[in-house]
Amino acid sequence: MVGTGAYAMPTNMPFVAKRPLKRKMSESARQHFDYLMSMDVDLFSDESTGELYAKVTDTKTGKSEIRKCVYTDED
Amino acid sequence: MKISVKTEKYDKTLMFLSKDFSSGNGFLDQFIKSEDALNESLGKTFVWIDDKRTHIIGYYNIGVGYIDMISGNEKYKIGGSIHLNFFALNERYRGIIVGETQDGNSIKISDRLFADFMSKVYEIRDRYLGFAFVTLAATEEGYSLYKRNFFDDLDEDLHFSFKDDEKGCKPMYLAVDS
Repeated sequence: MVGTGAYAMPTNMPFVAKRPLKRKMSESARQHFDYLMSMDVDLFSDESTGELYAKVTDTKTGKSEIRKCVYTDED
Repeated sequence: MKISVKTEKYDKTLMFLSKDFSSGNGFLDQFIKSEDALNESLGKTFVWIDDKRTHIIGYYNIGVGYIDMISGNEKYKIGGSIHLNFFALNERYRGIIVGETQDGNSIKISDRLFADFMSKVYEIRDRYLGFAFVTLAATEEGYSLYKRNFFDDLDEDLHFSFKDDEKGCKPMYLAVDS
């Protein structure tokens, strides 16, 4: 319900669910996203072999690691 | 060859990069090549491009939505959401493992692109909008990516409205409160 002037009501007041809905992000999910978001990824290919390498930098610590990329069938 | 990844908001000046984009899903490929990707009534599109601006590595399009609970003949709104309208990775980058999580699980390029989307979600929530969930409609091929990024299937009594192109997809959600 949205009124005019000073009388506006939010339409998104939370409904109290009749059964539990997972309403909180788990700590492990938060840590997972924090970790992924802190990664800078640069890709390099060795043109003689065609192999692909990733330089992964943790932007929080500044530490970098270069590793050969591995492929999987999974997306 | 070195490829550094950067995120940019998609606009007309970047559209020429979409001509060679192929994710393996024709619908997602067509979207990024069309004016729909620039239509802000639908959502905002962000692309991952290489620093030399030669190709698109991946893209996502963000819109809004909400989750309803169905009880009898009534629908109740239980929370607003950021809706991931489209998400696609160039098939040249599919399945490439670039690292490991602290739990020892593989991190793929698709996971890092997905985290880029999540950073936008956090930014929107911190600065502009209140909402409770992130929602998406997963294709069969994309389901495992979202599952390993902590999304859950939406239960049968919960609901969000699908776009036309999402029919047959699996509705999923993630709560963003901590």
